[in-house]
Amino acid sequence: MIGLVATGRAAANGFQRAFLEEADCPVFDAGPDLAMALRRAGVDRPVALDAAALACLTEDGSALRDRAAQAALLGCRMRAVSDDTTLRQARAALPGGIILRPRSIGADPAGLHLSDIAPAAWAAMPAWAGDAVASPAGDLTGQLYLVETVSLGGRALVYDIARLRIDIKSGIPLLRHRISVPADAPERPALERRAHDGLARLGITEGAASILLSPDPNGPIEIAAAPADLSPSADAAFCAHGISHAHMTAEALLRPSEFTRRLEAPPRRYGLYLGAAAIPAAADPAGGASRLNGLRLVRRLTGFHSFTPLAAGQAIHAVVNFVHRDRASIENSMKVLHETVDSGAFFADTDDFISFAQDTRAAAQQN
Amino acid sequence: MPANGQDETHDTVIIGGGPTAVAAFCALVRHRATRSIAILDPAPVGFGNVFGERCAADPLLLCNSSNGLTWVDAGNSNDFVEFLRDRGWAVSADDHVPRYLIGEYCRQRFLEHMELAASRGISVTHLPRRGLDVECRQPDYLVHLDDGTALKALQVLVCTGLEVPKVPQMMAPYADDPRYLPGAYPASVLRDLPKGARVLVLGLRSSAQDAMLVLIRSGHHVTMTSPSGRVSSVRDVFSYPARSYLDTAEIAALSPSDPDLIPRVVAILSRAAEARGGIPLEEQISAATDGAQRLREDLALAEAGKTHWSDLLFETINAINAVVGTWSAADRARVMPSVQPVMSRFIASLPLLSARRLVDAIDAGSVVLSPVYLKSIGRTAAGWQVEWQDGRVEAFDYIVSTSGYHFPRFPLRDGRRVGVSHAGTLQPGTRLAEIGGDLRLRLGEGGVAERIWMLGAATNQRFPFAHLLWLAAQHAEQIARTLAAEGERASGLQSRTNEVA
Repeated sequence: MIGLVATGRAAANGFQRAFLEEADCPVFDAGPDLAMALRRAGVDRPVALDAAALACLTEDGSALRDRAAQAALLGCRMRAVSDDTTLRQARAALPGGIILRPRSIGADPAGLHLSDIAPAAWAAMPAWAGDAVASPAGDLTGQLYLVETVSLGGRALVYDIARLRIDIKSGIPLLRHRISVPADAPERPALERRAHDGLARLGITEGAASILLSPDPNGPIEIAAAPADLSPSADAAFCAHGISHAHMTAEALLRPSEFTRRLEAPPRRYGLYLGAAAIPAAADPAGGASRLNGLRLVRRLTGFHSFTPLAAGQAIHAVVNFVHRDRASIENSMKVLHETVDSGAFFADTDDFISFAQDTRAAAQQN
Repeated sequence: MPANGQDETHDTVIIGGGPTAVAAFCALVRHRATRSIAILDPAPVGFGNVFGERCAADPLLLCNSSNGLTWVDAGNSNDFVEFLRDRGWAVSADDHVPRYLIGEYCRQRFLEHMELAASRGISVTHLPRRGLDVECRQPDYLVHLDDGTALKALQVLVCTGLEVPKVPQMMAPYADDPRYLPGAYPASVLRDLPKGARVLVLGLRSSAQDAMLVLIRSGHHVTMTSPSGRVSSVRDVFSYPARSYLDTAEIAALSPSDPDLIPRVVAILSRAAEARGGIPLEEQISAATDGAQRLREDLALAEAGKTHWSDLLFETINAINAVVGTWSAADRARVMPSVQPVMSRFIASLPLLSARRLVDAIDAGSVVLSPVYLKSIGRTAAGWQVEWQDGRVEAFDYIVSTSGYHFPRFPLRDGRRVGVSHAGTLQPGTRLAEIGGDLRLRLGEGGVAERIWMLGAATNQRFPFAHLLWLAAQHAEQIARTLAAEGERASGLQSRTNEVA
């Protein structure tokens, strides 16, 4: 079977024009991330994916969830919620209380996420989440991490471990940002071990996965067969780490021997950190007001890499990507971004937070 | 009992990791004044309290010092402006930018000097710990940390800044009340108050301005007041002066025993302001007694470019610090409480942008400047009931205090351990270590100068206007030069000893 998997029909068409014009093959949605990754992987011809790999990449959430249940994976408790019924089911299954999180906001296939929540359901989120956090759900209030992997033949490459910042605002959890964990962070080995264990127990042997977990062996662990919520752009990831999930997925599928060598080689360290901050759509009261002034500020923040607007109707308006050698600088930049958004300035027409001319004596004398 | 980390020795330990510590660190590295440095701060080095996440993340909050008076390198007064322009900000030396940018600047210079240190063979360690106190031994010092360990050091630089807000006496019984907010930061606390809250802000200076801006932007109703009722003057510029406008010799000759000290200071400054602007000082400032009226008039003068007194500020602060630094502790304690209020109207003056924002808010009815201070405060079920000195009674939902911060002090324990205290009050009978004019600490008045140097806000006990970054940079430069010269002398002595041998 020949095909591609990524996001966006326009990008798929572009990819087909670039690589597959002569191929008689099905083309799944292809997105700019994967297209770029394939270019970086040196792909300049039609590509052949075997059925198993393709099936893995396109595996739907319910199938994976069933497997998680069969594997009795400790703490694997992510539940899809798309309406009142599924919400009730989730709450029944998680008597300790639940916290709803935004569905995938990554630039990658939304359909691959387990935690899809329909826009209609999100409209009622404040009420639900208010209930949920009233009980000791706990899962999103401790230190949580995302371990991003790409697997081939049951062996997983960890290409990023990110720490999440989640704030509880008015009783609603807000996924604020993620930032790479230092290579020598003491919690890193435990996180990797738990991630590998989770993948093995769930039987995920191929393709990208995103594992949400805490370092606590008894803490929560959730696995999605796709890059995580709040994904940095593949381009930003490539800038920081020299690889991205899309790049690695492509390599694993197209050049498995190279991917295998990568698994066996010592990890490459570029000394850069990768951050991604969310701009929630709810922060924009006008629903798409001019944000030019906000962008003028954001682009000057230390470590700013790129701004990825997401499709309308999602819980997240955009992702701001950061890459820098200094983790503290990225953290600080993301906090300034959050304040700018929370204060309403990001979407405001005023420029009082980016324009500081004093009109001082020289100007007065000119007048 | 030996402390766990006693084996770890550093030439220099810097207590604190904010902008003052960055100034110290950069100067030490630039001058090759030490071989190893440990910096103690639980937070990442550079941002500090005032310019970090807590007080500065909201980009609406401007720095009260202009770009042209912000630097950590005493050899380059344009350093911050250059940093901003490198980032694409179209700013001048006279502008005031959000405080978070100063945090970014300090962090950036710290990182650059880390690289310089590495290239010069200077080892640098940042320990995410608080330095609690310094034990003076011979010939070294033991810095005790909050995790129970300690570091040995040949010298210690104390760069602790401002941490704990003051609580006005009237609010002391309510210090833990959930409807009392002791400080304007973080901004999110004010922003997230219930919509339309009636908020009383105690204070009129820069922190009060910050609180006001955040509150009105979030749709709250603000009343501002202070015991003096005086809003700071408004200035058009406050930058590094192109040339000298002040006869600093006259200030240097001031005596604390002069009964006419305050009129004399005013006369010196009035003459200089008139000479600078060609109009009397009285025409450069408002004489209105009503706070709001005075603010409007001062703003109009600044917009017309008539606040020439502001050209004297830089020299005045330096000159007064220099002369007061030579006075005895008793003289400083007796005289400064009367001098400081006179000076602070100008030294804490508002930049044009801040003054415009305040006047706009008053005009829009979002902010009221109370003409009188409080007579009493009482807690009600729904908030606060305030009785004003003119007899009016008014209800508020929240009270925010912006009465400034306690400067750090250095109590002595066992005669040889120097603590760092940010508390407003100390135990009766507590002895404080003395800061000399050379910035070195003494374990008592007239004691031997220890190899413990104080910088920036930590020098407030001796220097009245100690919290400005450029002063910290001056301190850093002075100390680094001293240490570098010592090092050169020691190295020269060693060479000569080797030659003789």
